[in-house]
Amino acid sequence: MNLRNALRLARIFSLSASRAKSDDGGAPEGLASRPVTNLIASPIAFILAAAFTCLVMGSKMDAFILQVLALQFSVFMPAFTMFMSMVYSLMTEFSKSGEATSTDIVNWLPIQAGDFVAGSVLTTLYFVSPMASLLLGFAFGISFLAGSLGIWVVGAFVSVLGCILGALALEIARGALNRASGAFSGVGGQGAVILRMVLSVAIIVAISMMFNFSMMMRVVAWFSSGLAGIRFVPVLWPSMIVLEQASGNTYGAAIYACLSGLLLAAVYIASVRVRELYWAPAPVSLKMKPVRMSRSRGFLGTLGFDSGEAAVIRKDLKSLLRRREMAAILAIPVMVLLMGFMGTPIDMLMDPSAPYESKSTFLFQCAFAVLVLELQLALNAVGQEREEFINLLSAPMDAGQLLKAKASSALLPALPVLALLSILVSLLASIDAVTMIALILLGGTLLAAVTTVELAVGARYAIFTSSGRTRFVTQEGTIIGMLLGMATVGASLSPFALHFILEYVSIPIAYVLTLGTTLVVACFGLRVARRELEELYEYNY
Amino acid sequence: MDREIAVSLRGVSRSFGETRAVSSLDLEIERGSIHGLLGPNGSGKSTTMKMVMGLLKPDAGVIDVYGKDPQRDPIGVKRIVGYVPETPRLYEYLTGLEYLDFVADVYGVDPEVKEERIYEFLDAFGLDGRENEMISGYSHGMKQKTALIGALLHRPRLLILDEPLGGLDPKSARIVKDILQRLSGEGVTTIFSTHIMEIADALCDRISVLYNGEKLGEGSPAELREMAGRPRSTLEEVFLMLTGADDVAEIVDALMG
Ligand SMILES: Nc1ncnc2c1ncn2[C@@H]1O[C@H](COP(=O)(O)OP(=O)(O)OP(=O)(O)O)[C@@H](O)[C@H]1O
Ligand SMILES: [Mg+2]
Repeated sequence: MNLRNALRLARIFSLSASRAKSDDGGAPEGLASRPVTNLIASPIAFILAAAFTCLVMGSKMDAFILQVLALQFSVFMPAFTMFMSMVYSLMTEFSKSGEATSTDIVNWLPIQAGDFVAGSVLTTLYFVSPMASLLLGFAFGISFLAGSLGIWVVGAFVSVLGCILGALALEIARGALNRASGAFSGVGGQGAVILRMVLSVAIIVAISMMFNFSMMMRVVAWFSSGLAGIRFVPVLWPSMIVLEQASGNTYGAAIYACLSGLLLAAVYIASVRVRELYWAPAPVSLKMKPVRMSRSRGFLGTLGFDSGEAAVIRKDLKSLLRRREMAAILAIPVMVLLMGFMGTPIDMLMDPSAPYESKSTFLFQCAFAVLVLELQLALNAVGQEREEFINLLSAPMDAGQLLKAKASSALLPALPVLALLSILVSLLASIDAVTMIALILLGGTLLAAVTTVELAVGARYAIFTSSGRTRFVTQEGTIIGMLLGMATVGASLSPFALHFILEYVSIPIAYVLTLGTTLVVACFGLRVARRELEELYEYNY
Repeated sequence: MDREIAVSLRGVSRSFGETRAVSSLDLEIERGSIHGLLGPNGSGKSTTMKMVMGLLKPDAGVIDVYGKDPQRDPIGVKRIVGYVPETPRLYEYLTGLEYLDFVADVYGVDPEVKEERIYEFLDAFGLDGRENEMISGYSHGMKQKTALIGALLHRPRLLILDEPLGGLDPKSARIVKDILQRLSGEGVTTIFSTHIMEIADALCDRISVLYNGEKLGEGSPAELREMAGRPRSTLEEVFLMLTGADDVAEIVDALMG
């Protein structure tokens, strides 16, 4: 490994990563363009966090609780930084489009696998450092108050180790993922493509769940209860150093330090090996089953779509299953749904006699998941065309047809999910059929309203250029989309307030009013979306 | 002999900020002819084609495509035009066949003849056997051919091809040339831009030389030679003279010291 090469690579990676984040893809200006920015931000974050903790907690906490907290924080830090660097690497890996993967770009450079791995790890450290510093700062403040700074020093040192371990582990996972998709490509066909997408979503969700707060708390609980099996989990060895040291067992700490060192070496060697093996990922040529040419009007035709609209819808549905960038989009609603499941004990959900209120969180999460799915699909519907939008612009298709096709391709995947969840919910909450149908009807209308509003936002803030860009919609657009999405739901459902808060009208009347409002919002959204799409046709390029 | 004008531009201008990409351009293109646009980089060829397509709005002037105005009736124009942009953008996550199926449906090609027509072109361009692979795995030339097929599927009356032969191997380039000539015989008009003089010479009925957005000259390849007063020289020499680049030798000398 050549350290200078590694540093150079790290510089390139971090620059390209921060450029990919900027919406116009141009070089970031001012401070953001300087690689030292994060290095300055980190100490500041550390000092702020430490000062904040000292000032706020110092007066309120009693000494014993502080001691416990200090220990938990110090023990937990390494595991946390490890997950953090893993999540970071994973997110950047998945938000990259196929051709922009850094691996391909450096393939022809005279560098060795070791340099590459080291550079990539340094980049991850660099991006994770402000967040990690924040955590270290909190821990420092607490340890300072508790008078156990010695443990904190060990914890901080081990945290860096954890960070490196996490980044290395992801390097292996990356190689494995490439290998896996390569293997699937060999098999080919729609099934493999779907499987790959499901796997990608599952990996993102699984790793993000580790990041989830309740999961973190569970890990902390393991440590506190001194679960015996823990010591056989290599990933937790760094944390064990701190734990042993804290209980005054220097000998045990030394053993875990050795074990951690061995782990680091093993993971490093493995990741370099993987990098060597898949150093030059040849562009895999995916082979699919021959398409059946539609001779008849087909299913979409009978629904009233003309051949052009139907073609756009079919293309978009394929895009949803086949493109890497879609995995991150699909993962978010899945996470919301999983959190719903985790938040409510499963036996309580299954018990039909349990009171409705005990399940309401879960019901709410289900509805929320579908809404988030729809929001994502509609928001990205136009931007996902990328530069290929020229195909639609030069086609004999007007804004109205495009709107119809895009709205439908954003709605179609969400409708079956809505239906499935409705059935699940009606089983769990034993809701009668009439209420259920009423709810599905309202849900569908609400989805339509969200779709039109988000389509408009997505069209206005779409990013059509592809090179190095990671998103389909600008950051500004994403935020506006989320706010407007919430506003849409709020406005649509506002008549229910008449019943629940003001106790002014009965439920059926509130329902009809709500359905009406939602329809009005949907029609309004449709008009705005139409105008936004028409504007795209005026766009000069 | 009655000349039927398929495409006409009168006083067409278009600027981008300070840059005048096209300035008061007049063109008349006969039905069934192959019209070449030549000119150095940045001379306004692509801009002109986009305006004819209705993708760009002219600042001034009138464009007529088979009696239709691309700004007033964009759908009507797009329906009868086949367009291959400078750098074709294909949906990389579709297979070649899926892409062509998509294009055919978008242009409303009769489902009865769609499949047969697609396979005819795939055969002709030597893409048969690769049509079920994802486009992301295609070579540059394969993508170019796929885009070309996409522009031909709906039997357009006007073809607008922006450097269509870039990246094509000699055989494919020859096939494109033959197809264009045959279509010309059937009354299909073609506007295309190229930087390859031999192709322009061999293929074009008429050529317009653009420079800084203005038309320097127009005529058949032979007429252009006459006009330049060099009837026996190559079109390349005529082009270099017209566009004021006949000092190439000096430039090379200066560069190579
Ligand atoms: N979208 C745009 N924004 C700003 N300027 C543009 C745009 N498109 C073209 N131009 C400018 O208009 C002029 C003509 O460009 P055009 O693309 O038509 O040239 P061209 O003849 O096709 O060149 P080439 O042979 O390189 O393809 C150039 O100066 C170019 O910089
Ligand atoms: Mg051009």
